[in-house]
Amino acid sequence: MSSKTLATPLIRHVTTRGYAQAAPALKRDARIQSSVLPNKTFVAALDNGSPVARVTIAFKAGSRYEPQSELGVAHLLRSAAGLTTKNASAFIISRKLAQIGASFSASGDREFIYYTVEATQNNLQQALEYLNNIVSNQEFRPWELSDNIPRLQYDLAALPPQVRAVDLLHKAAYRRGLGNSLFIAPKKIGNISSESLQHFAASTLTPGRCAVTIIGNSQENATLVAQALQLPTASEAQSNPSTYHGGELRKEMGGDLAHVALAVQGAPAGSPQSLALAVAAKALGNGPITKWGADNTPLAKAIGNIGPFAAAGFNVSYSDNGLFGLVLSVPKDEATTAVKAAGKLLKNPNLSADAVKAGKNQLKLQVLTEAEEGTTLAESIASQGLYTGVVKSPAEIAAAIDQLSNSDISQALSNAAKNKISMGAAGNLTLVPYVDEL
Amino acid sequence: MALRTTAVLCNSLSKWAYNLSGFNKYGLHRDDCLYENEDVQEALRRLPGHVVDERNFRMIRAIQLSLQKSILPKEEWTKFEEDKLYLTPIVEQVKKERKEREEWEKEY
Repeated sequence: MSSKTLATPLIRHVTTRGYAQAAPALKRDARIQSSVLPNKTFVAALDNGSPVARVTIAFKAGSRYEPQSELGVAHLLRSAAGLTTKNASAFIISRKLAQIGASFSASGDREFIYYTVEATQNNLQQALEYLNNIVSNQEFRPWELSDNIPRLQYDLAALPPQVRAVDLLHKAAYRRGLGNSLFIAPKKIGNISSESLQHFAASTLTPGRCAVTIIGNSQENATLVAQALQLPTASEAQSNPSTYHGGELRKEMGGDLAHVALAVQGAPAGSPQSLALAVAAKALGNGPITKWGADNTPLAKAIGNIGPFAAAGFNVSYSDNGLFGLVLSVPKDEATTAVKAAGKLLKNPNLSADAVKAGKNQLKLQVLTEAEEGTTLAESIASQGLYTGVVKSPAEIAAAIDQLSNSDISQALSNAAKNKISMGAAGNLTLVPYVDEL
Repeated sequence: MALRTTAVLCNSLSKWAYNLSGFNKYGLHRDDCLYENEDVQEALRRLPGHVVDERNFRMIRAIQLSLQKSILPKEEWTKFEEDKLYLTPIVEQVKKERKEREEWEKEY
């Protein structure tokens, strides 16, 4: 008994000391390193000494590259991540990743698809091996795809109406290309063959359209990951530049609320205007800052006191175009006044210096907070690399936001406001005005 | 030369055995006679629809012929050369996957 009491604190002491020694010293000057490999794969790494490493492999394989005859194939591609490939079966992939405690996810937007794995540093090599197995040589066996149909149906059933409104907004604004929906149409489920998926994957998952980023490990490791990928180098999918047309799409879904997204043409990613418009979107408002608090943003003031509603400015930038506008959820009876007021604000945006200052601070906070989360940072670095080939660290972006002058922002705003307004609406649209009535 | 004769001999021997087995007189293929255990059922699920339809047709025809105590006219018998193994490779794959699963469950 006495020996036990003696042993316990001793062991505890030793282990705590061991951990203290193992903890690597925090590097003060963690910098993002990036390069482009001979096969045109973009590689970036941020060695921030984190005990968890995040690895993202991103491809230009978003919905904008879908052929018009196979809309929804990008959604199918991201839901098919983790199925049996030439190198490993779906069963082994999931069990081995679970065994080392790694977490794998595939997400996508209009431009890119991201395959991300998170693992502790000591299990990283194994996790990378399986990430490689998932991404390269995908087979898309027909029976596995048909077993996967409930997942697609769940994705669609779980879509919030606001997301539908923004999706319709894109379709109205761009028609094709960027206008392609992020989600497969219900009627298309089960109708896209394994061969067309194979063809889409072969033309988009190529080394020239790929970016590999690691957060929490070295650049050499990222290069090794990129070189180990077995990707086809066949013909590449062509993308036509998306032009802004403007228009309106409505989806009557019933219910008590109307969800409306209004936007004008914004600026492409990487341009100074896109940053200015991002500040302006924050300045327009993002709902109350405190829970149940008053909403004092310019957007809320413009709409006025009509009872409970939610409104936020939004700005998205793609490689060759962008959208700037707002998203609104209002009770169906108040829709006319609210949407008209919001449309008026978007046509003639007048932001006070105070609102712009608040917008800058909020955007900086958002950029820096998102960078704390390794997965988000890994994916955003990958997308920056694929957009522009240059990576800016979150701190640099924050500095660039600081440098924007009020005139930059009002200039960008008035340029954007010259364009035709587009609108996407979902929910109960009984009293929602049409876009030419704004 | 010797090798070639062996191959020819082997081939004609299997052809003789094939014709002796009798199921080809009902118009069946070798893979139509597999016992439908779980592996085979899974493999059938993976076949393209029209192949399953053809298989079902052959089986129903065979049952009908068997009930009537008759066989197909000789020119409609399945020929050894035309009898392709459309199911066996898939069954092998299913078995491999099952083995992999069982191995994993033994270890962990």
